[in-house]
Amino acid sequence: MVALRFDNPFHDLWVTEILDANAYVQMFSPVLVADTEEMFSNGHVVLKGRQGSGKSMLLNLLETTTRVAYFKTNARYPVPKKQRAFISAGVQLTRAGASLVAARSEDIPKDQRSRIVATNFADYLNSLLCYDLLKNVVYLGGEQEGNPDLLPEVTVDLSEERQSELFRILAASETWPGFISADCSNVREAMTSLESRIRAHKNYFNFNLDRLPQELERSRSPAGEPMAELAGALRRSNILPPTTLVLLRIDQHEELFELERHSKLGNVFRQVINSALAKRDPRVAYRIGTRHYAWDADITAWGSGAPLEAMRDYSVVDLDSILKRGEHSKSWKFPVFAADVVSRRLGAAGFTFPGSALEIMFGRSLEPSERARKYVGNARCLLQLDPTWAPEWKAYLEKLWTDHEPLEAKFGEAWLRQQVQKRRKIGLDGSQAHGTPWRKSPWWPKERNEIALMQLAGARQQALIWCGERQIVDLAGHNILAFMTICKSVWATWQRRNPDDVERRIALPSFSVDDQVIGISEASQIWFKKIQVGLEADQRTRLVSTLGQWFRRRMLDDQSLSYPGHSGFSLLENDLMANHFLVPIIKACRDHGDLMESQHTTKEKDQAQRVKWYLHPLLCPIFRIPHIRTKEPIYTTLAELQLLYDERRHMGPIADAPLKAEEEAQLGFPGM
Amino acid sequence: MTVKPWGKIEWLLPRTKIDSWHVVTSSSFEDRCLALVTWLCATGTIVDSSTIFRITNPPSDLWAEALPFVEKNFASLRTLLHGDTHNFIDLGLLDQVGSIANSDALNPHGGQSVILDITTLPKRFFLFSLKQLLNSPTVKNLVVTYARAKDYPESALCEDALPPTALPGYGRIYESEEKSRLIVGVGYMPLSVEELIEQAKYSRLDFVFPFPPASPAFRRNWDLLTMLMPTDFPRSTEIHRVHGMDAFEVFERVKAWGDGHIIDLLPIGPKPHTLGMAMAYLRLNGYAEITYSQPQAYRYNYSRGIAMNSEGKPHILAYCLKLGGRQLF
Repeated sequence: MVALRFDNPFHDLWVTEILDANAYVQMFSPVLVADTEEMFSNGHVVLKGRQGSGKSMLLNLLETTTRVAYFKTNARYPVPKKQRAFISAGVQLTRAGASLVAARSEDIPKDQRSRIVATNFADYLNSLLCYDLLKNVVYLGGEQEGNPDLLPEVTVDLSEERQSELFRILAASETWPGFISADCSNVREAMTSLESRIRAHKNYFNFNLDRLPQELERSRSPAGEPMAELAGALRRSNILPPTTLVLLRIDQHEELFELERHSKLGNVFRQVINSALAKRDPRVAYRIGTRHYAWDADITAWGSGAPLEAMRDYSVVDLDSILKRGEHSKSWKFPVFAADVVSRRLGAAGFTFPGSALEIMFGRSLEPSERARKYVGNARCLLQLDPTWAPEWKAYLEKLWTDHEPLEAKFGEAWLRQQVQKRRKIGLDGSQAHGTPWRKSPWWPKERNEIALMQLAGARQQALIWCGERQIVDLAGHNILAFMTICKSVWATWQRRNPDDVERRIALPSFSVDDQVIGISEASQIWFKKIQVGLEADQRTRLVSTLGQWFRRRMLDDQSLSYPGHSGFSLLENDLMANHFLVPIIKACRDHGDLMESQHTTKEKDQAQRVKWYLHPLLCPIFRIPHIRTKEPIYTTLAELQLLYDERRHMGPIADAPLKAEEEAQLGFPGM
Repeated sequence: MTVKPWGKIEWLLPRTKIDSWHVVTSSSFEDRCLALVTWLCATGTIVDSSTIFRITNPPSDLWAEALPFVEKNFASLRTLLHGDTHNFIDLGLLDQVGSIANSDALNPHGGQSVILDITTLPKRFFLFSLKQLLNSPTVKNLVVTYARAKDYPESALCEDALPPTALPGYGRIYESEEKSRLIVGVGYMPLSVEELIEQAKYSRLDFVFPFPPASPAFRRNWDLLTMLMPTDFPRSTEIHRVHGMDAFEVFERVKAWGDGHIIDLLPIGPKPHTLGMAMAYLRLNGYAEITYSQPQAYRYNYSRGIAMNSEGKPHILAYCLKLGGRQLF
């Protein structure tokens, strides 16, 4: 059992940062390994995904400490055997202080600024990666001394003879003379030399040195070259077997995108990394962990300016695409992945359970009719019946309500309000007041369940009910961090509301609907607050608030349930080319996963290309709108969105103020 | 006995026995940016020379609202500090600090005695200036000043904080396998740091809480603490109450915690606490790092007025960090 820091097994959402290698072995879900096969092959790979999609966790699978932990715990390393002949080194750009690299730019003459900053950054990166590669070689060699069976596909030989050969090769190489001290004769000395090189850079970036030491300045080389030479030399000297791949991980590449936005240096930092990839040097292979926007925005190489070519220079592993629901929901990977992650978390916390943990904890989702009954309770009929309707119709709909079929009653009310029925004067004809004509087409109620339920809940000032395995998976919006946030909040709610059960803690809990509703509501608030972290946080928060409240207002006002898809909006693709202040905010929301974007096949005659957006499903509970996407979204324009956005802007910078007001109105939870 | 040379400006400044000063200050949209210079003029303190920071924020509605106040206050400062020896530095809020890396930029006339007024100078510039002035062999005497505001509006004070990154000049030099200890200065605004606190693998989590605060600051500090405190926080989490203006106390505590250990400092609390953290950083020999989320927009009424002390004078605190060429911490 992993020593978790908390009673809630889902407490730590960011396990990649917290886990030691042994705990990683227990927690890592191998479900995606088969879909990310490129990660373990030759060639450069760009691993893309939104925040919390599992990039770092996957990159950590390549770490030597992880592989050793798999061996020591007798767990099966998820990488196919034939692809295990690799060793990896890495740098995490946030931790490496990449943001400070630009700090000295202003004291460099303008005409040389970009070139010198690029050269320094390349050398800093080279130093970090070479140091880490040597560190991994030494670590693995040390571990193999005690365990000769450990990682037989990468046998490290650090004998004196081999090390001498390594330094003989490096001394004859192009970039290593001067890169480390000339008197280095073994790997440990080389590491010490590289450490002092890294420190010199950091002292310079932090203004502790006026300039870099001259010997360092003279021995800087383009990005990637020392690593390629080191990788080749490690193989040629037989320290590593000749077929060993050297994988170089660069994680949190998006840090550079953020750095470039304010450093007035163009895209120099990302271009430096691109230049390392552009070399197509087979001696090393890069693994870049990044977010979509940071990679797609610039793929040109520093120096040549030539763009990298996908498939030729690198391949892409897009975690969001892998986890997104496709046309065939049976092959949808996310539920399998989520279930596996949860099982492993629970297993690590010491729970044993038969079958599916998700099913035990969350049960099945409530049918729409059940949810309707929960919203309505024993309340008197809240339908808004048109005074012109025949008394038979009014009596019939009221009877449906009092017979505990409020959803049917609501459907009936809406159906009578629709244009077709109005034209045919159905509401005036009492003889037709029987049965459920709105169910003639199975699609009609299916498409309107959620909007009808939302209106019923709204009439009773109730929070919407989300519960059950299926809905919880849907609310996560194929993001594992969102999913774990829900698990964490529901578990915490259960702990708070059931202290006696928590004390006993003998079996996996089954959460009541109430616990789930409250927990999901809290998870939604956490997700909303998360918007306030990251780029353009307040503008994004404001737009999301604007949209959430707009969707809710429109859907509540739609008494005939004619627009059940108005939980999203659509713009002409051309609008996105406009120089309008909202366009970058919409794109930032998309890039951060606040809005889910997809192409929209228009129903309008002009057939103009459109794009549509919906809120991330986990933001829907806080705005009390359905997360289901159905029918047509709102066709809108940037001008209309701007009016709405400006309205909110005048309310002040705290974008969730109106939400707070709603909270203060003591929104009820169904059945509580 | 350890001397902690800080207190009201009217108490501290005469005790330095220095007759004339070079002043480094900033023009801002806040009224209190004038407090120090107004006090110096009113008391007849000689200001030989000065450097005024004029910071431009990225374009935004808030900045458009704030700009006229900045211009008005800048004009007032220029009226009070005029002549050949009074200069100014124009900088963008997010600019790199290289242009002030040379202490000549901050102190172009080579003044031996410098007052650095951090009242409205953004943290990234004030911390960097502090480091430059402390390290400058020209500067023999350095007093840092901070004027308290009368009050703060209830609404959000700033917007669009950038992701947390190390402040220029305050990054870590030495890495270690040891898990770091995170020390958070508690203020009013979360500034995008909740996730940093939640994500990172800290061995300990410490909150430095300004105390005794006046209401409603008290409530707002607790609100922020509640927001930042992980729901089920590590058992090694502590709240340390330190007087909101006592930079030296923060310095001593942080220095003791960080001695021989890796620490991360997150100064989102009162500026004197930030000053104390910076002083500690400078003594921890590269094992600490100060991280901050820089807001991109501030409300024009970020603070209101200038607080008065019990004697009805502007409440300006002064911290003497260097005297006769010797650092006093």
